[in-house]
Amino acid sequence: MATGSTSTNISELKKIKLTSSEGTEFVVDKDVGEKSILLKNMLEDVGENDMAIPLPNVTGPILTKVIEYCTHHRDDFFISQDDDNKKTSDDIDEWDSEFCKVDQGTLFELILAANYLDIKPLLDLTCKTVANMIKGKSPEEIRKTFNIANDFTPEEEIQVKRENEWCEER
Amino acid sequence: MAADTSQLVADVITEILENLSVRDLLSALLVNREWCQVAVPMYWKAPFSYKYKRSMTALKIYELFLERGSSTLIGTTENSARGTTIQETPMLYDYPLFLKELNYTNLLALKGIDGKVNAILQMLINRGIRLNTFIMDNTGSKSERHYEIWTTPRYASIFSSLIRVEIRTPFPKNHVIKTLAKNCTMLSYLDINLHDNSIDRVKKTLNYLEEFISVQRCPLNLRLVFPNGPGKMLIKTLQSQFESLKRLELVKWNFSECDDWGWLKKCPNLTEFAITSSLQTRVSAILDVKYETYHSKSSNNSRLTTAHWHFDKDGETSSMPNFYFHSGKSSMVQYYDIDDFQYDYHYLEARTRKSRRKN
Repeated sequence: MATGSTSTNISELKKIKLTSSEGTEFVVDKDVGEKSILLKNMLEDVGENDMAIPLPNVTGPILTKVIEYCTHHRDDFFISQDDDNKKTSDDIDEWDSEFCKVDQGTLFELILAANYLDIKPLLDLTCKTVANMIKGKSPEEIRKTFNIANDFTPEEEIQVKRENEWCEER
Repeated sequence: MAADTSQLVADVITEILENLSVRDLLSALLVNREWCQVAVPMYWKAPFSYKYKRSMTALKIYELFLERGSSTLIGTTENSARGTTIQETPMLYDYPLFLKELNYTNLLALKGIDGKVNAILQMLINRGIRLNTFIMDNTGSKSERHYEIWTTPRYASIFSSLIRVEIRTPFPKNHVIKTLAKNCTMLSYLDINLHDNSIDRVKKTLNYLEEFISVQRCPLNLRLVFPNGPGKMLIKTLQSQFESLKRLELVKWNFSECDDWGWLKKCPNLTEFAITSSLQTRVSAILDVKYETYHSKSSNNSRLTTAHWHFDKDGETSSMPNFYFHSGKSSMVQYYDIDDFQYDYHYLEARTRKSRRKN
């Protein structure tokens, strides 16, 4: 195996190959691919290599979306918003919010892909989007929205309510 | 495609729920068992950081754990009067175990808390609780217990993983700084009000401060308030710690004898510096950067003006709040996720790239 000594100037122009779960091959610019920490680490570990990286957990349509996101944000310096201001879910910019206008199944798959590929900004964005769908809803409304079955026994449900009531005031 | 949440694994649900307020968390934890499992620990992270009534109901739950000692599921059933009260049923979760943020002032202000504080602290010790955030507000009331938590060695373990400390009570603070210096290495946020008339004790405090800063692993956001405090001594203390400072705000110190502010330029990680106004022209002359002023209400009857300088580091200015220590959000209101400022991302990314999301 080749020892990967990375000379940054050249590697920025490089392309990498990815294979989705169906076996479709995607070619992306290396800097776009490296928005994924998983891929970035992999490339660092493996070094220069022409092999396609298999992504068995990501379908073609989802990978297309992910690449779209990473391409749009390729020049962003993905900084962590290290402060407590981070958890305000209303600060989604326009492009991002358009990007998230997909059906729920796609949104969930995007979350899983972002989690798997370790693309923190995409994970934050998609999770915020889902969180916004939860806000202000009752438990029953949340179940309906996401098609979740209530698996509490009646006794359990009463007990959960009783032990966690301290916020039940306006 | 049919949306199916069952494909979402628990740590992804965690990521989603972290965006929610406590109120929404309450709805989330009633959704089903899996969501409950994820939401309950978040819901109980900071039970005493909200309104009085909420803290009271949380205290009642804590008291149930006090009454039954350490046993949660076994051992309390047979002989006591059965069937009527909830004490008889095992709790679904060990709620005190989830405590991460302690607003000590709020806890002490709760009705019927007298005589229980030590028992509660002991209960936390028994559970091996490690706090992320500790807050003491200035309520004007004096309590000896305020000291005790900082001076009793057996409570020290609670502090060992603190990341954020806010202390605004007006008592001599060398106990606190000493405890922080001896126990904490992970602090990234310290906002503390100091006050002392004895120059010897102040010297000691500053020595502990120096020790404290030197053992922290991440660059520190430090706000020190000390009415008429010896500014020259403080700067001498800070001068050995240039690399450790990320944001620094010095309020009400007496800097009349300080002429040399050139050391600020030697702090490689400093992104914000602030002092109470009146000195800004002198500091500006050195820094060669424009400052902005911020007016804050320091207490009920006094206003405070601070001058702030910002330094660009790696072009990461845009999303940073202008006045870091004055984001306008009190922890009473906002349910922030404490893990978020557990580490300084840039600082640590180089060291541990992978452990970032190991849950």
